[in-house]
Amino acid sequence: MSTAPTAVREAVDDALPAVTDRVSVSRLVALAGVVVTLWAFLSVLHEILVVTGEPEQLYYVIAGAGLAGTVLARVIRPRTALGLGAAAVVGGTYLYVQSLPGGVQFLAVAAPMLTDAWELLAGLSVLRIVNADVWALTAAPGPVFLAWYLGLRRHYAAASAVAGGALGVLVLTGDATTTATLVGVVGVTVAVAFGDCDRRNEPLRNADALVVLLATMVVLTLFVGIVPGAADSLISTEGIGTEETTMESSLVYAGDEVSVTGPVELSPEVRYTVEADRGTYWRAGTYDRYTGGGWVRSGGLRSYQGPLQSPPGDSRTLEQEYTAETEIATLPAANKPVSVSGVPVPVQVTDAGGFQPASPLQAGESYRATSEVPTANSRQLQAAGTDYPEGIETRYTELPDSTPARVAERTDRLTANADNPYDTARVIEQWLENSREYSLDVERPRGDIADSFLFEMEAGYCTHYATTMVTMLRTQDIPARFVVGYTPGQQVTDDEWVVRGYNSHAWVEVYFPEHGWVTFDPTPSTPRESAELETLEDARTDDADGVDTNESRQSPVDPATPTTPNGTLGDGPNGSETTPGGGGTDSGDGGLSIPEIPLPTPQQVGVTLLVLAGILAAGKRTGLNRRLYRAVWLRRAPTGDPEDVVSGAYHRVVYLRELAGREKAPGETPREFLADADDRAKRVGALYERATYGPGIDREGAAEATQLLAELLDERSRLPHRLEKRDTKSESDSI
Amino acid sequence: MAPSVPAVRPTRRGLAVFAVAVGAFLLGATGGARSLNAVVVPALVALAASAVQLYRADPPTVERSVPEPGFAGERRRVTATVDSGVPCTVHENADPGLHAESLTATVGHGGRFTYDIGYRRRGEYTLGPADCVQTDSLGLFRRTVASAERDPATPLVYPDIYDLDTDLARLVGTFVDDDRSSFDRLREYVPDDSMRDIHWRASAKRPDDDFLVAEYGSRGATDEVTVVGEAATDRDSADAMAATVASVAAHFHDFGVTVAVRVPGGDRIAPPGSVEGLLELLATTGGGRVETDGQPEVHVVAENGTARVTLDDRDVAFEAGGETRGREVVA
Repeated sequence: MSTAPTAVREAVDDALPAVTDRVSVSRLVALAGVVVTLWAFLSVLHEILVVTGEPEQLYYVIAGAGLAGTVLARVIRPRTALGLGAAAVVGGTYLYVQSLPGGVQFLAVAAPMLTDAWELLAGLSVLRIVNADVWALTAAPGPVFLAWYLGLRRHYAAASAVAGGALGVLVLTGDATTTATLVGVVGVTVAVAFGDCDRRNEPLRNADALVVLLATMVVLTLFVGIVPGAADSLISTEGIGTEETTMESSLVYAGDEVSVTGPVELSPEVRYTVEADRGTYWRAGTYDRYTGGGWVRSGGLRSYQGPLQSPPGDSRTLEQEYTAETEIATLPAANKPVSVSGVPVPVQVTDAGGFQPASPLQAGESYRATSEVPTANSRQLQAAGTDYPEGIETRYTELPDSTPARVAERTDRLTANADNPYDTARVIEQWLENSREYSLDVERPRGDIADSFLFEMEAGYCTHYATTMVTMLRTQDIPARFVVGYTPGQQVTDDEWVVRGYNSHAWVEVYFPEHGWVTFDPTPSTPRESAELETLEDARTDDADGVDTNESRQSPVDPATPTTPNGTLGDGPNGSETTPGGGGTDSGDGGLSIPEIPLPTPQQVGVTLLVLAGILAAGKRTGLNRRLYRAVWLRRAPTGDPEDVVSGAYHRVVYLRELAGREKAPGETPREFLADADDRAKRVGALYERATYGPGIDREGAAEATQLLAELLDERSRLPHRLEKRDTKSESDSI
Repeated sequence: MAPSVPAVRPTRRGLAVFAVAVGAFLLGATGGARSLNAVVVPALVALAASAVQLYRADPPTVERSVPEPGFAGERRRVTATVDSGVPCTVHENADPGLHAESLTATVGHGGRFTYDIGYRRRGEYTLGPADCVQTDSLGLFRRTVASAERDPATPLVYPDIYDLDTDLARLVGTFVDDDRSSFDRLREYVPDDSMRDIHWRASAKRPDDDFLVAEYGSRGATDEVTVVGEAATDRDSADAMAATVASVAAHFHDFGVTVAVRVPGGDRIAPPGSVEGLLELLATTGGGRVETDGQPEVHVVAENGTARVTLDDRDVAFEAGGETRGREVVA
């Protein structure tokens, strides 16, 4: 192996002059295209790592892979490099599997891994797999090394294929945004087009046509949705549409990911009826991973085999029977569900212990669920301590790296007097209820949701409240999670509730050692319920279908939601002890509130720039730019020395003649060219000859040329031109 | 004949892009849109734009530098200038009678490339028209199209020129060598007299400025010789005839004698020092017979690949064995 260091040294020696040598522009641009594509791929991985918390390691991995590609591009042949790239992928997978809990054997998991891989490609977000951070880190080096190696070896198309393919995997998993995908596509196009130029030893050719092509690609992608369903998702991510979403679709039907959206509507349609001894929040799903812009449920599903564990502390059994009134794709059950029966479809259990139907329930189908509702009172919870199980603490206190520090600072201040997690949660819940308005009509916040809701937004709805509360709790290292489901709904008999679409809701669960997950709801209930009622009354007035069952029409709509749904907590917080009061609202804002000018997003800036470049390039190709420039130039008075002025006037006169259809031959003298022209044009020609070949020209001559040109322009068009007409007075002044 | 529009066909890369677009669409339609629209739409835009660009592009034109004529064994470098609006791979068609290499070049959106040809055998050859494969700027589609030629280049290979072997040289020598021993008389110079017959010493003695010309007993005006070449129609015979005529003519030129040549390809009068026109004629002539008035002074007849020279009623076989002297003659 003694040859390896020498080979490396030789490679470096070879590489150094190669860098200092002049590299063709095409090559640089093509390599930039490869880098852009890789950047799009890595930005998605980076995003995943930011969500899971530690993006720094990615930089080292990228740097290492890039360095390996650079050095080995001088040393090994493409076939060897392909082998190395494949080895990097296999090795990465091996590392990932080793990191999985339970220390599984590498080969033993081959079959389930293939299934998982297929699920990822079918749209399972990487964020949902266990140890997503390890996955992202191990996925990075292979494509980076191989694409960079191939790019340096002038195999630009292959390099683009590797980088684009890697990005494509993340597109299939649904993690790559439209923006990242478009950036990657642009990179691939640039790398291929200019890579071809470089391979042909061509200078940068046809760049303007390519810019037009890229602009067309981007604009059409933004406004044309060919893939079914693409237009919606695109417009909502771009924030430029006014597509209405319902609260329900954004929460309960969100599946594995909840993304916080803009304005929402409420649907008054009846979803199902519940028979139970008491009304409570019907939980449909929990989310553990916060991305800054929404929620992701991590971990897989397993099939339901039998009763689940009861919560660790005291609990009361609550039997519920749900009957679907429309097609529903969830299996709601009160916290904490332990068993379910009578479901007409297979049932799956999420990692966090919730139920999911394998396929939607049809109207009329019903099932029974049994829940063990924790009954710990506030005193017990206050005394619960912070001795969290390891798995719970790491998973439910994780925050994105991008969470601004001021969220934690404000929470620290608000909860300074709370000396246990329960009080902390209470304070936050109360403070959010009191200090923000409830509104369904809010713009989608930019950046971190919790940060925006705390510092920029005046109002929001349950998603914002719950997201913010979980984030604040996690800054205090209190395990908390985001929960979606339905509020109890309209009570029609003693033990029956009618649940409508607008009852969909998001709230918070906080973990207490020895007691399990306890429900908190930071959303103020009164404005929410009145908004819901209003929706129902409107729908009833319009005689809409499906907004009532037989019982619900007769019984009064009684929005008797307990502020804190967990019945045992009815005694409420001790109130005065920790509530910071109104003063807390302004304390963090630092006084002045400047009216917010909406800044364009980077995407909007990028698209606008690209479109402008496209228009310019198209103008250049069609010669429009030159004509436009000439049109302005013609109307701008020549300035400078008398010689410059006369020469400028002469060239404009020539251009006027050419516009009129008389081409100036290369060797033609001014006199020949203007022989049969207007006398004034001839005079300008004579002045020009005098200035250029004769004794020179004075200011008077220059003024005369300007004047003549102005007259000629006047006759030709009515378009305004900027030639000042000098009267005799000003002329005499200037002499 | 109207030129048919060549078909625009996808390249492997184009097929790959199409497959990606279709695959992304199907996955998006069946398993959720995700960001697949940002793959499908740009792919379709690229395919459409590329197809249109290629369809609208004009066929390329190829202009070549015409290589200097020369002798077998010599090499020439040809510069081809390609004018094309889209990337273009040119495959130059050189006459198989030429030794040619690296005839294929990828020139991009127009450009120039060079290639070498080697002359092997007497004749007139053509370069072009070239077959061109045009692709669009992204390389997704291709079409094969012949270049639009204005005038294809025609390199010429002259016949070989040899030193005459001794028999023939002596014969030609006696033919041109004036027998200046049999002096006849002096007379006044008249136009059309050869300068070499001027008797300088006698002219200098005359009081007036006129020249005196010497007349000799034997044939005097041997400053132009008619050479007629005929050959069987096979190529070897034509080559042998052309080489023999060229060698004989070069030999006459050595003696300052103008040669009037008539061969099946035409006729030509070549004074000493300007041999190119004659070589061009001899490069292109084929076999056949020619009409002559009476008996030519030198008659070359080639059959079965060998030539015989008849001169002064003597008949000598031409041996192509002497030193080659092509360059020296042309220079």
